[in-house]
Amino acid sequence: MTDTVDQQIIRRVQGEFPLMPDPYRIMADEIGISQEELLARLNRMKAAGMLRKMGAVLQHRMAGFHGNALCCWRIPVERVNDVAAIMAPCTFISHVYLRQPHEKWPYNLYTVFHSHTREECLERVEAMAQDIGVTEYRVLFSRKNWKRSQLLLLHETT
Amino acid sequence: MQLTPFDKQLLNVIQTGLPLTPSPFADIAAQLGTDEATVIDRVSAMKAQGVIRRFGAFFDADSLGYKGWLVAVKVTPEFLPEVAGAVNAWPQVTHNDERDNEYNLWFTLQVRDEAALAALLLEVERMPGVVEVISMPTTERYKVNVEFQIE
Repeated sequence: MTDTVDQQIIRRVQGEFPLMPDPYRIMADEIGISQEELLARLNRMKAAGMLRKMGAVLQHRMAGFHGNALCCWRIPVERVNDVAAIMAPCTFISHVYLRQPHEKWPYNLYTVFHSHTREECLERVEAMAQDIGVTEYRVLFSRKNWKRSQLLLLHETT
Repeated sequence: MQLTPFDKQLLNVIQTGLPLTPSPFADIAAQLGTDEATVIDRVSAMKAQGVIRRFGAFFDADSLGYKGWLVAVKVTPEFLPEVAGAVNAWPQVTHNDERDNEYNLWFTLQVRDEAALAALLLEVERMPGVVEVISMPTTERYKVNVEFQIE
């Protein structure tokens, strides 16, 4: 797992990334370790799947994606793995999550579809529904986005 | 902001990932056939313009002991801005959207224990205008990928 140096690293590298020729040296200096140690630890975290990536996330509306919807599907439990395997490779689907459904909201598979327009998004959802032979699903477009952020892990004590 | 073909190429590369090497921007410049200063300059400009929402490290919440939940709230429309604002203020909340449904406010949050979740949900339930709150825990993640290849 992580030790206290890892935790210092996790806190620092989620913050402002120096857009300079030697960003890792700058951050290593701030943490008080060598650049070699910082890179070695980051590489280890990356290999372990703990660090998903070092890089950029785009504002997707600015990148031209205006039709984005949360699609909730009711999939029989025995078909979930097969359906997820069909959805996961689709480049216009960013998230495929299984959730425990609620008695008032019986959908168990949650996907986020992205398209340039709402119409295109709906066409893709309908085509997917036909492909997988599922009729119970809901498409929830965002009417207003109030927040989109990355949780800054280990900033809190809880 | 008008993105040039070079900007788009650069965005596609840095979305995939910045190398964990001593001179990452020079490495990317070599890959794209340009120089380090140009890469740093364009990344800085696109970040300042908001095309790049965040630049840095993205950790996997699960492997650091967090569990994700999707919460749907049915709230009287006139109270929605107030409830959405209160939800936004919690650092555990990662996404919060008003959606076209009887459950009109949907948010995701990451917590380390269910007691923390219960306390937050109780706060939502007690807000004026809130009719109902339901929550769905993540049990498996088949895909998490927030890259948009730009053509």
